[in-house]
Amino acid sequence: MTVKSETAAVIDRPRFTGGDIIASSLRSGRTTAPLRSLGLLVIIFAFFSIAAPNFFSTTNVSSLLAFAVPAAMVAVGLTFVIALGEIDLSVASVAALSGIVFIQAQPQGLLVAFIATFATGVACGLFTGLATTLLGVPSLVSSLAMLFIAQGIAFVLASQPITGTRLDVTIFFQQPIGPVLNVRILLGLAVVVAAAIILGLTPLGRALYARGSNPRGVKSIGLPSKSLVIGAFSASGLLAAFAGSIIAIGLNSASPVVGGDLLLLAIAACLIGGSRLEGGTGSVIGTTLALIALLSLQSGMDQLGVSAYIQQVVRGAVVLIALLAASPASFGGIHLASLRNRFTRTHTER
Amino acid sequence: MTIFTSKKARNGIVAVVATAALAVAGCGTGDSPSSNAPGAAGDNVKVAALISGTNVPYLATYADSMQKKADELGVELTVYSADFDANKQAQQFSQALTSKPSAIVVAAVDATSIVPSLLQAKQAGIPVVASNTGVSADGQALIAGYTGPDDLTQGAECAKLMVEAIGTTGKIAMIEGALGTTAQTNRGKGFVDELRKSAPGIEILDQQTASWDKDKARSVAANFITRFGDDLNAIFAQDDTMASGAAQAIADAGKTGTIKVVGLGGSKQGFDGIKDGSIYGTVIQSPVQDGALAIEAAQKVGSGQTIDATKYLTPISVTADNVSQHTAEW
Repeated sequence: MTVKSETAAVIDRPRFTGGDIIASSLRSGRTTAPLRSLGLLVIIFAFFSIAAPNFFSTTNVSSLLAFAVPAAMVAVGLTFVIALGEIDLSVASVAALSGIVFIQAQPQGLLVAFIATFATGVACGLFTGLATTLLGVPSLVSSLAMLFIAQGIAFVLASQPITGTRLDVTIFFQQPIGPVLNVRILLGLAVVVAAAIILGLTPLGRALYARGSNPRGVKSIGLPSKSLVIGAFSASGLLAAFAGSIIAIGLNSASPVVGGDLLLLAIAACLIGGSRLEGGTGSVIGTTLALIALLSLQSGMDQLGVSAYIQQVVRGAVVLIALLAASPASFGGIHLASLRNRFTRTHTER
Repeated sequence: MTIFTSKKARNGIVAVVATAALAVAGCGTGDSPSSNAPGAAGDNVKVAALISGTNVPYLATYADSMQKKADELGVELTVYSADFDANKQAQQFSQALTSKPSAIVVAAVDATSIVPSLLQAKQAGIPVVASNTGVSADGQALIAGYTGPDDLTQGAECAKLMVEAIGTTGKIAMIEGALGTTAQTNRGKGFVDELRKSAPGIEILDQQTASWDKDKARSVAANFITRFGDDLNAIFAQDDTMASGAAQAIADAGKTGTIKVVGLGGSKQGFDGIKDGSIYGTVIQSPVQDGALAIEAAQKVGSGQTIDATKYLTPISVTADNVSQHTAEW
């Protein structure tokens, strides 16, 4: 009810004043969600820095960030899709398929390999997007179909792990730049920054949020709803393909079974980072920080020698606690969200 | 204002609960990696063991055996489990390197994708013992040695059992492990190569994966029985868990004994099947020996000694004739 009028107000207004930007940021969780992720990250870092002797060393932080890159790419793509109220379950298998395409195309040259990989990702995203918009299949179903299709094709292309021919590229991507960064981390950082700008600061980003908050309202004010959906799925496919190629380069090989936990990790990161499955919210920075937090949790527990079973229990508990902190409106009868709506509405309608 | 204060309060709650949860988890297992007996033979040898996944019975026993051996030798052991994800294993490998262990034991998720990690270990000057799963040809120069099963030989031993079960002619089907794993590839190759050599009259009608899963194996076997009917003389399952699933499907069809089953591993399920006649035989692959050999080798290279390039487990064929002489380890 209130959401509709606010959304329309945001879209109709040609220019934004400072107050409006703050208000709309608060509403979409763009400002507060990163703080929450940051909080989680700081807690996890503080805990393990004390508990595990090597945790807070530059080499460990560097290794953590390097391995967060592929998962972050997938999670950022998913943030776009969830922001407009859809879901993409195919990301992990698209990443695996893309990795295989990358390794198989390597002998034709790196440029060809990257183009083929990205084309694969975009094609997968287009399929999901078109099935969702033109055939009217819910994205839960169309992306699940894509998950199986990509997995199947991956096994057809390579039923067992295939080895790459370019170990030099693997080594180049690990090349340190300063004490913490390396080529792989820088590439990931560049994508995160670009995505954060697109979703947070451009009209395109606002249109994605608007479609997520109110799919019908978007049509009525003339935004190309279908194109937005197709575009977001293509972006998600592209980022999954990028993740797949990063993994393939890192391992100098590809396998149809690589990256199994990417999907669930990415969904958890999105939700902790401020996305809500109903759409209309989400923050690239929030997602990325939440993802690094979740991977730090895993790495810290690994270093403490926590058994794989206990790790899963702890991971589940932390995700749940973080989500409780994310949306108290649905728990314990505290209706913070409605308070927040009232707060922001007084600003927009000023 | 309301928003910011409540936000702080909320984050505070998260902080307390999350730290408490982690503290509990940390304490529960905190003593396992640091059981260094002072004055023991391997004093100050620190070993990081990177296992493909400890959440399957064989590798769970394997990890336990490592810990026992490490305690016995006074080796400080940290175990990582990669949940069968090569990317996660690479991450754990690079993290293990940052803690500068004396040696690393790696049971690779797959033989090829471990190579860049081995290269990193080589650069860091930390010796690596490949265990349980071998590494690909490019990785051979990067490891100190390999301990564990020879999947090719294990597969070949299963082929010999198959000939024993049905003779040198007949029609069989194969149930494979998770596609892309070294065990799946090499057990299958060892089996097929040995059959071609010693019993070319045996025809393999089909092979399907059941991903090491009993239920899947049951449905794969049921499909084989429906498709091939009386043509089917036997099923080779690449591990005992799947063999027991296949035996179940054969029992469902009332064909126990007419369609023979050969498994691999020597697990409790396999032994039970042999005892009740639903499985013809299996080849023991001992997780206890597998884990112990790895730690022995790591302790040696970690303290500057050299080891043999390969040290294989002893495959032992088990049928109804000798099942009472062996105990199942997993």
